[in-house]
Amino acid sequence: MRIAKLQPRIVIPYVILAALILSTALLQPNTVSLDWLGIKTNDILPLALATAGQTLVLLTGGIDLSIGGVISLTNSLEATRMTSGAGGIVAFTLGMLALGALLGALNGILIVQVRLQPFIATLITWSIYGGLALWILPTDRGNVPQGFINVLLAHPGGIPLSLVLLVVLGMFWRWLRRTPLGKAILALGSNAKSAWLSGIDVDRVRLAVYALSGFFAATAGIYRTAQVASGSPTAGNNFILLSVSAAVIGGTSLAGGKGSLIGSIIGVCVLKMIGDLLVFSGVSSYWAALFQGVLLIVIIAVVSVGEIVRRRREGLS
Amino acid sequence: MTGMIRAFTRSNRAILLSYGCALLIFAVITAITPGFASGRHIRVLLIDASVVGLIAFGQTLVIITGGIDVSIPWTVNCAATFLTLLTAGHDHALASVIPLVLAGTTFVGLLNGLGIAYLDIPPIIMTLGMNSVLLGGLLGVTGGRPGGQAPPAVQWVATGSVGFIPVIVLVWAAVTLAATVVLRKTAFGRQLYFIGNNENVARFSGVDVRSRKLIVYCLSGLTAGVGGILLAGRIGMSYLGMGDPFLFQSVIVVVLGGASILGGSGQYVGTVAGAFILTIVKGLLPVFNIPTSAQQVVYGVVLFVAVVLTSLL
Repeated sequence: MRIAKLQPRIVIPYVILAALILSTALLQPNTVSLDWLGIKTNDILPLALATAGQTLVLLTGGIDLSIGGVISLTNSLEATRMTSGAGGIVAFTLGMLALGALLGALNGILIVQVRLQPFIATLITWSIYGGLALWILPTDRGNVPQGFINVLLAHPGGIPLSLVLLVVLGMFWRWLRRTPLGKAILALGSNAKSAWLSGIDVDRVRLAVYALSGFFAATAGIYRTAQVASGSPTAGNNFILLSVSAAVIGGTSLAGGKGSLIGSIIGVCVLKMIGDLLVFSGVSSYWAALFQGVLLIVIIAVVSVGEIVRRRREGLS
Repeated sequence: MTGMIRAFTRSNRAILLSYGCALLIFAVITAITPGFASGRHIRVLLIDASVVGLIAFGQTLVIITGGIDVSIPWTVNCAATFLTLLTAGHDHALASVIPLVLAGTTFVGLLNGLGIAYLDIPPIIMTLGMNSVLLGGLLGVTGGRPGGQAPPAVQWVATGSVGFIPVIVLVWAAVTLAATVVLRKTAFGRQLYFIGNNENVARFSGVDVRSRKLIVYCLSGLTAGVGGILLAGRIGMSYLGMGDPFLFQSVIVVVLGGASILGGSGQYVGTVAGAFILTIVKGLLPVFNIPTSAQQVVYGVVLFVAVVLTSLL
């Protein structure tokens, strides 16, 4: 067990993050503080939530492109349709969470019942959910109740709520991993056939995973609404690529069966720190997408080549 | 003779069905909307169908091999923007700019192909990353400013006519003919279906799977470049985001044309029918007062119906 924990796949993200924090602390010695931590966790949380859902899907060997649509849709709805009363805010936000889970479950149904491949099922729903967001809110704008923003960006007892939620997310994984569902998710990703043969209801696990991914995407959309205090019908599109990148940096395998939500959170931190370093070194934000794309391709290529080399070596021995 | 016809119908059921759908939708709309079938409007529909059809050429081959290319939107956008920027709206530099732009987009396809065929990166991930690279690169190079006017010669190819037939339709017809011959009659064409049906079997049967995939993604980059240039000519200029609709559209027209998204089947003639259906349906939205912002919902639904129908055939 101890040796298994020291696999490079698990250790490397922490090493990279430590190096990035160290270099930030050296380059900008005055920035690293508790306030900074609060700003960073606020910044990280939406992507961490979206990545949590994406990770669960990747663990089963699938992919969820529709989170882009779900985030855009919940963000657009929250920014245009929410009333400012406390009861209204709570009811509406809970409704958004339910909507996210429902939209996610719909992906699951397309994959399980209609037997579509995950990428085509979620490409279809990405188009539909994103289209609905554009229908509701054709351009970036919105009117977000101040009370809603104040609650989600609060610092109870000096600790940012976003940090608390990140810790909760980590604890959720530690709990989920030990439940039958968590074990089934990992088993399904390792080998779908043997998972099925060992009595796991594979279809139900898939459905649950996509519903969870939709739910997490909705939480990301909701939190983004508070963070930006506005809505955008295309806000979610960027999350698709970044969530996959973060999960892979955090040690999740695209083939499924290997990875963890905590690794993914570390992956999100790494992505955001790299982004900050680019801004610090004066690179125009226009180039951001270029670096994000290159980073994704390079990481996957490295993992892939490692896999090819490992397979060759095993084949020879 | 009747036997031959029957055999032809059987092996091309999906494609014939697509053309049937296109005709049926067209007939119904013509009946309820006066002016839809006017010569002017049909001409516009033909030009729009040619643009999306040419952009989806590479996507057809990619999907036949069981892959997907979602880097088409910003490849199209890069081609259109660099065409307008480098020519500054004049014809005299075209002879050097067009080969340069097409070499660039083919290189994008080459990188996709290298990642997918030689590094075993899943196509959806590789091309999603590439799309982001192109988006960021183009935003960075242009600083977010739109490109400018398309040269008159390109505008003529995209919207002009020889006699009463649009030039672009002649180009498209030639491409369709060539594609059909290559896919049906050459070893290369047959190998693409082989790869799409079962990659391992293809490999063990001696097909050079990697080089075939590499060529297919290069072609996808090339035709996205051609499509981008013609799109700039069609609109008369370039702007950022002009390629975005083609992410969904390029996949939809291929699947509407009867190709299985799992690979191993499909014809470019089918994609042509798919381009007709998509263009007619797009022309239909204003008739039913559906706002342009909701187009994407319709695309999703159409894609769903097409994927399900093709899997049933």
